[in-house]
Amino acid sequence: VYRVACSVCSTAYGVRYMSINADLFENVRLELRRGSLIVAVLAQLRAEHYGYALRKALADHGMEIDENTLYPLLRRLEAQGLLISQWREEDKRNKRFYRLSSDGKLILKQLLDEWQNINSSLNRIVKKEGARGTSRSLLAGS
Amino acid sequence: VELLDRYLQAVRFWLPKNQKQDVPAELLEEVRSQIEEREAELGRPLTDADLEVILKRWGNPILVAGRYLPKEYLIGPALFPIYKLLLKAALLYYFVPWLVVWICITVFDSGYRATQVGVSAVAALKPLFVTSLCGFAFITIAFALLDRFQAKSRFLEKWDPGKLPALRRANEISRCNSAAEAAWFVFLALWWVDAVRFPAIPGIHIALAPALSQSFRWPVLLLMAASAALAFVNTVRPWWSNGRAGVRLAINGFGLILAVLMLNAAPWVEVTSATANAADIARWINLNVGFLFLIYAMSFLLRGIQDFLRVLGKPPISSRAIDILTGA
Repeated sequence: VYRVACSVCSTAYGVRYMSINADLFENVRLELRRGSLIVAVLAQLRAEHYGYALRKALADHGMEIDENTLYPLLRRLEAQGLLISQWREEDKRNKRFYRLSSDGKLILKQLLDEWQNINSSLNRIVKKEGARGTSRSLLAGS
Repeated sequence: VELLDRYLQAVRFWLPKNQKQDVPAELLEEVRSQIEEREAELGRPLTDADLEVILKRWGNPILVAGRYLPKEYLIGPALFPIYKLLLKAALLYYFVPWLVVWICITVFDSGYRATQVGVSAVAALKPLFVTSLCGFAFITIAFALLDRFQAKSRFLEKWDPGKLPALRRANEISRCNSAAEAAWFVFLALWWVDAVRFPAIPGIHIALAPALSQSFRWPVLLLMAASAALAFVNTVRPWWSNGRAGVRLAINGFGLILAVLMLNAAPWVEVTSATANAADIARWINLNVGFLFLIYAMSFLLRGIQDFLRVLGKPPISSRAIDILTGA
């Protein structure tokens, strides 16, 4: 009975731990994605798109974004002067088309430079830590 | 389609005026595209149930509309910790003691208990709830205004590192606090032996109940004299030594026993009046005296814990709430 109770407890603890871990990862992942989404949207809008087509284009490049995130983001970027929008009829339907403004092009260029810098810094940090980890495990093995 | 219109109407309701047309029109186009995509997948027109699945995934209209609204706070994250601290302090030092005193009086005073039946009990607690609610509303409104002021003036960003509070030293005693404590105990002792009197209110005679003034006369005087003497020594030597912490531990233990015994000796005050309603005044004063006794009891207990730790050579508990209650 004691063993069964212990195994039930440890399974319950394991399930709870995994669920907390998954929630934590999801929160951190969303934080990491938030800034990248802006860069992805601006980059994709170097060519004109309407909302649905933009979402599909981003998804095709592996950047899934739900409508409740995309449309408010488009509004915000437009209010900041980074995008220009225009209502136009296409296939007998009214659609709102977005494209990068001149300010948006400038900001996108700066953002891409910044992203490159962050990326190379991260690469250096991750490689350095990876190398340390490897040497530590080698020492432990010897 | 009707379901879709109802959904967009609900979203529109929560949107700001300048977006009421634009946003739903754009969302309509997105849903239509999603419907077409789904119909192509299924090879048939969508039913209401299918549409419900899509809308359910989109989320509650109020949440959908909320994403288009600017982030607004009644009290922003900059001031919220101070607001929360103040509310906690009000709850801890006013609401809880008041309620505990009322419960103690109701439990121990049979005469008072007899009057607290049904509506009377609710009526007795009414001032507490009204004062608490007003306090809560006042603090909230004040902080909401302060938050608006902070957003404009950014006064929290104008600060001087040199004006940060001095480093807390666990065993240091504030000379100012000790001097004030000594003066307070001397005054209290003089009042206790009738050497000092408060100005009398015309037509009303307020006096300590004999159970309190006679039975506790010498123990209370001893407690006050010992506390005043210790405060005098602390003014001259402003740091805790094991010996002095031990002396205060003994005084606090004695004080705690006295406070508990006195709490049980209710009513503590007698009121006689020819004109006003003496019973009501006595009840009000007794409630406040009970409140004071309880604060004293809590203070003695917390000081005792802190001194016990000092006697053991351990650092006392570092807490702002304890500092306020113990007068540290």
